[in-house]
Amino acid sequence: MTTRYTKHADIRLTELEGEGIVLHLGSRRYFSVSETGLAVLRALEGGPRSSDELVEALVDEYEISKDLARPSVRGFVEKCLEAKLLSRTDD
Amino acid sequence: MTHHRFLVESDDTELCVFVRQWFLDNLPLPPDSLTFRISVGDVSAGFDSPPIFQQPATSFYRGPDESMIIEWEGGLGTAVLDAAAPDAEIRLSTRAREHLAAAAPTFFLAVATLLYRRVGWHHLHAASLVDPQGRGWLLAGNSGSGKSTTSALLASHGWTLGGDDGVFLSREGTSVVAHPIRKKLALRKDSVEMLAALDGDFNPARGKTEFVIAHLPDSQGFVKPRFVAFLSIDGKQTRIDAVGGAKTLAQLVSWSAWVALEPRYADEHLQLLADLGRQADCYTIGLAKDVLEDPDVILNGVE
Repeated sequence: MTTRYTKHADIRLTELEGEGIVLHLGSRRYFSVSETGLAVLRALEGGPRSSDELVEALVDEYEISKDLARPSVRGFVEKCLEAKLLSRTDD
Repeated sequence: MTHHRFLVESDDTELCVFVRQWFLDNLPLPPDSLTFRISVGDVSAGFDSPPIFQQPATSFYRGPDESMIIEWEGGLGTAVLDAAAPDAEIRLSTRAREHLAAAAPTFFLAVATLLYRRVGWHHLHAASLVDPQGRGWLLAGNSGSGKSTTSALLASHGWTLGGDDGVFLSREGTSVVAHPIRKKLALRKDSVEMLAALDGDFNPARGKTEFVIAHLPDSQGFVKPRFVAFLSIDGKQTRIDAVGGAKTLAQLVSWSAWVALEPRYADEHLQLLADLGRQADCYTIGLAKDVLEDPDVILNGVE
């Protein structure tokens, strides 16, 4: 079984100087996101992604090891799920 | 002709003339015509769903096919806006017809703000000025943050005022520019007392004293922001700190209440804000009374 994450249709991403803001159009709440978060959310713009795929995206962008990327992705995804910026599906 | 940019259609000629003139006096000329079709009569009251957004005296609802419906409180009027075309069908009650001066800065301004979005201009809650060195400034902040008082202060010390309340952002070539909303600058009693040199007229309906200050020369019409300041009132000494990145974006989004209102325009609005953040040097300014004695504190703080 593979878990995939999908960006909520109501969220919009914008960035400035390597940092970003995620705006949820429905709740009208906005959140600051770091470079890591930006990279994860940009990867999700292509459609649902598994955790491994998101880790690969971070590794490609920042040339860091998977061991470093994995906890960053996990932590960011959990915060986004809590804030209802992402949803999870299990295949 | 300039008035063709605000197309006001109604069987009520006096109404047409009043509304069109208010737009011409207070709003920047849009790049394409905005159409307002107005009738007077019974206004249907009540909506099945709660409003998705509210501004002073107005509530906003989603209509069919991504249209927007704006209600002027108390059943005084409604406007239905097409999702894409810059036109609005407006119904005013006979009671509202007798109080057009009250309608204009709330209800009609709300309708116009959404129509400007349909021609690519997006609202930011900020004062706009040009400093003595010819550089454009936006001052964003909450009601009570000192925006109007600071604007009046600077305008009486060699700065030129665009407007003290809001602007519409748009692109001119590769730049982001700000087109001022030119409503009269209005100050509370304590601010008027602080700026004793200014002379204005008290408006009892608003509880504020209003001033007409020389605005930007007609040939200019917009401000190209070189600086954006996020104002608050804080402390014993004015403090100016540079900001960037997510903090700038968060501030700009917070002063753009309309950005989340209609999804189809959100990306364009957000991109304008991000590009403004790239173009301008951004600062938080915690204002204190020392700025009244030396307004150059603001200029000195960014140089």
